[in-house]
Amino acid sequence: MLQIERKVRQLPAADWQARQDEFIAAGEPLLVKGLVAGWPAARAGLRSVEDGVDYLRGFYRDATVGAWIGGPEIDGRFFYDDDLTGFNYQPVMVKLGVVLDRLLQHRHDASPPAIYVGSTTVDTCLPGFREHNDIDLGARRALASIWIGNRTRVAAHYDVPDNLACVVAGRRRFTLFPPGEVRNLYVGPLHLTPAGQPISLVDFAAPDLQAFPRFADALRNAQVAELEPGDAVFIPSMWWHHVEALDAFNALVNYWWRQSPAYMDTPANVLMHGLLSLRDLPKVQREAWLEIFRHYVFEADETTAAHMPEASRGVLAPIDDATARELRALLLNRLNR
Amino acid sequence: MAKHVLLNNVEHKDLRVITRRSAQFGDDVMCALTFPAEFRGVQAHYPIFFRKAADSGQFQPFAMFGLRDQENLFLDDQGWDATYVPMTIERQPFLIGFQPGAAGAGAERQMVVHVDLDSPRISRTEGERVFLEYGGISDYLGRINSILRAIHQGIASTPAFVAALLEYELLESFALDVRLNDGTEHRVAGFYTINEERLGALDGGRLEALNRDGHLLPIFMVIASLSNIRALIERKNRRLRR
Repeated sequence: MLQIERKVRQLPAADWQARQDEFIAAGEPLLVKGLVAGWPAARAGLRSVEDGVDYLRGFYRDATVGAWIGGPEIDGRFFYDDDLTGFNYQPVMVKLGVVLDRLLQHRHDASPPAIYVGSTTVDTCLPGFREHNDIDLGARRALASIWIGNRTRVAAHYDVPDNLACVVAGRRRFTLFPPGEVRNLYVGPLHLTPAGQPISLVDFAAPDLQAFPRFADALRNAQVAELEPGDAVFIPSMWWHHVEALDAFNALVNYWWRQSPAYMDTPANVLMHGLLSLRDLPKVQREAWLEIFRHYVFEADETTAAHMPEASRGVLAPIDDATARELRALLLNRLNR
Repeated sequence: MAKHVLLNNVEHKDLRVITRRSAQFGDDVMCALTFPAEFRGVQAHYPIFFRKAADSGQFQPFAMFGLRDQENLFLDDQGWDATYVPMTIERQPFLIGFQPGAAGAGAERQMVVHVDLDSPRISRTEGERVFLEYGGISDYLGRINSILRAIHQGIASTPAFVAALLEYELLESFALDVRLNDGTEHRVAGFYTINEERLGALDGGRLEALNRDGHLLPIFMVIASLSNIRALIERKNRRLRR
């Protein structure tokens, strides 16, 4: 296990509930102790593995889910294969009931197969669950997903939405890094990823500091949160997180929401376009574009177009639905060549 | 012989497709699978019949181009003599494939485009470009994409349509006896069509149900299509004169 001094700031549930908007806007990770301790699901998960599984099964209506299955030799670490051209596990479509059966069946195994149902919409796989186990996030249109598995590790990655992850069963350890640690985390391929997000190639259980020396720098800025059933962790958008499920049965419900209008696409698309059209420019030209991007995008404010009459600002004016549509049409048209 | 592969803009960057209609490109077929959503276009030129699929035993609608195997009376030196060509012909040499969604858990399978690289339509030198110079989608491929989507949705709607026909016993077997101008006789058998008498006897409630489910219009399109049988035989007679 990594030696990380810094713990994620811990907060009583009442404080989070009273000042949720403020904490979300602040964008700092938080461990909210007991936020969902009152959920029947978390109470069942705390009682026993059987009770936790039974509680979920009460909402199971034959749903098929995507699952990852890995052999005992991967020791719960879902990752690439040896040459980073494939993966060390099999994605399968399977009945959720079968997954729950197998988790129970292997619960006492010393080295079980790794079983993981990631990011599955709660309302489709366990209809009715949220009527009894849910969080009020105000006007935010959050996507609620459930994650179920045995002892597993998911490599450090970031997600674009804000994330509130609530542990229902089993203990979980989150290791978090601020967005700026990207260069110290040795991130793998962008085009081939386990679940859509690029991941750190560092094995947190046995970091190879010869191959990944700057990971030591990342560790200096890391924070850890250890959660028990009933606890929640707030992971701000773009924060790197490595997630370990520590018990033979683990379940987590998370909420993802964006602080941006729906017409905005993921900035990852801009990155891909940047690789296509910016990265390989001569250095001088790239630096010139850096200034252009700083001016129009990264440091844009109300002064950027202030010298122009309002009617002439076009895409430099605040974007609305109509401008977004026009821009999309223009981009689609220009990209298709 | 067919070699179906996933179409992509790297391996197939120079791919062109000959869209001319001719027997040498496999257009010499007697009939083609169709579906209710395109009956309006199909009935303008071709008779629509039903046939039982050999494997599943399910009834499927077909647009008919000839009176015997490999006979397409709409094909001539100029191409295909009709303003509407059924989509399952138009799509050639592309077909619908499926692949799992992005590796993420719970991903839906996605419709993708496959291409038959052994099709005689495949070329590097003539025909429609599939991809633009730097890998973009050509107007032609855009059209193929919409056709494949329409076929996929259309064929998915056929079972409900056929179930309604069976429920009201509207399908009857049908043999076509044709005496051509040269005196020869042909029998086209193994097909089914709509029984107009039973259709005429349906009460208001049933007609309303058929209409509400969107089946009534295609039923009448099938009936209207039968007037094309005469034109088909006339095409055959014209060929005999030549």
